[in-house]
Amino acid sequence: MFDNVNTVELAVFTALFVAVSALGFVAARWRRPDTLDHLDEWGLGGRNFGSWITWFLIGGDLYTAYTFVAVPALVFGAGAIGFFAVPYTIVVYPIVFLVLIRLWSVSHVHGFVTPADFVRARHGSSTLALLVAITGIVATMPYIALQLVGIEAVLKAMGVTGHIPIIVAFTILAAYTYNSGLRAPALIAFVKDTLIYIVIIVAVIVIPYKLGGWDEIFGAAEAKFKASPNPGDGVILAGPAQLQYATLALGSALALFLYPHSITGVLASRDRNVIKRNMAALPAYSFILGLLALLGYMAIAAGITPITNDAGKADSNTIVPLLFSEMFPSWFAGVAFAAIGIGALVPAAIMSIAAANLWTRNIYKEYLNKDATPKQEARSSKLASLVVKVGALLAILALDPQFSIDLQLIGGIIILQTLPAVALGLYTRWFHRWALIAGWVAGMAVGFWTTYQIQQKLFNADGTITVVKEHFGGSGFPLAELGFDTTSSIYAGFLALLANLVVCAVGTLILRVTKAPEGIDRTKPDEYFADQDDPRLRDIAGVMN
Amino acid sequence: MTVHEPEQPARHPDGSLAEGTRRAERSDHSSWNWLLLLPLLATLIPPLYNRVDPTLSDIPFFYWYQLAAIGIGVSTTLIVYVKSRG
Repeated sequence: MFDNVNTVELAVFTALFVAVSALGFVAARWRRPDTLDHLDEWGLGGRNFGSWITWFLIGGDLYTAYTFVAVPALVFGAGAIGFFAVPYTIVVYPIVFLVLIRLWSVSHVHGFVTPADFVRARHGSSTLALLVAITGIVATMPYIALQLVGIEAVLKAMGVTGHIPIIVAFTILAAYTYNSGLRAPALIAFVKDTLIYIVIIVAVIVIPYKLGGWDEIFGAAEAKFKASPNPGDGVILAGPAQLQYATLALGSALALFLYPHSITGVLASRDRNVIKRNMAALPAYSFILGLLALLGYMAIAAGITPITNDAGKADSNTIVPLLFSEMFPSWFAGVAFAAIGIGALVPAAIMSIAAANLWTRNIYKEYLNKDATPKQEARSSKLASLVVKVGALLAILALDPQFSIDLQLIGGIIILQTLPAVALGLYTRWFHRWALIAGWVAGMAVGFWTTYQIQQKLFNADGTITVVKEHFGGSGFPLAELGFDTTSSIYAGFLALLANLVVCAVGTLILRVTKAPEGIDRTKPDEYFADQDDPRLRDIAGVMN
Repeated sequence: MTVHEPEQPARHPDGSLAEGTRRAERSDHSSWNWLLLLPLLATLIPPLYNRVDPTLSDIPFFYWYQLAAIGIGVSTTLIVYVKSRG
């Protein structure tokens, strides 16, 4: 388990990891509530986080360890297309700016904890709410599992192999999340993000200097892609890849704030201005992510070769840790690894809390215990957060991690199918509830069908193509498969969403003509503008619960 | 940030506002909101920036342009926030 371990790296890593875990337990006393036996406290940190805490929390939540490892790996392997993470995280904030403040307002008036709570009240359909909840849970689970892949990449680079270290790390995480709820990742996020900022800023100054400048770095990348027979890679986008680049960025941006863990971060904030300020301040993380992406090219210039995994495949997720190991003195590499490792804990905690809240509010309370007290709700969520983490751990240990990667790819596509009910639902009740259900089904079907069709190809030097993976080989769907005369691809989630919207619209028209019964809308128009100083806030929630 | 006294309108026992004391119809409408489209136009049309030249200290245009576009995103959302601050 510990052959060829770099002891200095491991010591620094372990020390920081232990310190942060202690912080996770102490968090229960931070901004001490009267009781943690309420979902507003355990699951939303008291719904009272200010701008700074929210910035660290949402930043730590969205920019995950897996992102930090996988984006440079993609740039390392394919070049420019991997940079989509930058336009993706630029456009997401202006897109959701106005949407999230509406969601925040109506959620505070009614005490909603999950997006499915909103859907149930808005569209008057518990079936639709159940679908939204299940979609959220299914999309989140593999995402949690992938955080383990991030930790594993770091451990591998330090020479630590085997599953026991990951089991230990996740057990600690499970324990303090159970104990402190959302306060734990909120507090830890301060440490995580500070470390990440320091590491990345040092990296983009030190590494190019050591490698002989950006000219050398991009030169090495260009040479690599020129020699590669793959027509899709390069330092800039190949012509047909441009549509995929744009739709991938836009589709991912539309999906991001539909994920339950993002909404948890938003609902935990104190007022509308906190959210607005954060929409302007969160792109600081996008800048760091952009610099991180360029580490992929630095790894090419430094001649890094990824570690081969047990199955004999090169694991490109290890390139960033290996680059750090090679370029930094051991103690600083240890700090960098800790940044990534801790970076996995924050989102994993928030995601498990969000999934647990969905379970409690939209399945447990809706179907199993209709009269659940706030205390019972909190208890159910705490237990569910443990179950979710054990599930993620098993998914990585017992199944091929590739399964989680595939699922996460689909996760973005399926969560996008809740857009009409949740995001459009915040603006209009024009869609009929049954049409929204039909649209969801159509979107899911198209999403699965298209990703199932996508092959992962290996371009050989002699011009032949080997299909490495028959199905779920990526998210770029070739338009030629639909009969278009083009070599362009489009983000599969985008097609699925289009199908969803068309069915929603046509279905609504048909249901109106046939006079199918409408659901009851329990929200009122001006509740979408309520702010913290509004006297109705919480009072109404108190009356209704 | 200004702190203002919350109004205390007359209310029914169930917490809802009594007729006539409802605040002036609030909304998030503002012409400034259109600014939010700018970052989308700047980044979702790859032909605008999919080239190597001009480079900036040896970094191809494709990369430094998109990193700079983060500034467009920040400034537009900031303006819309300041103009709509409640």
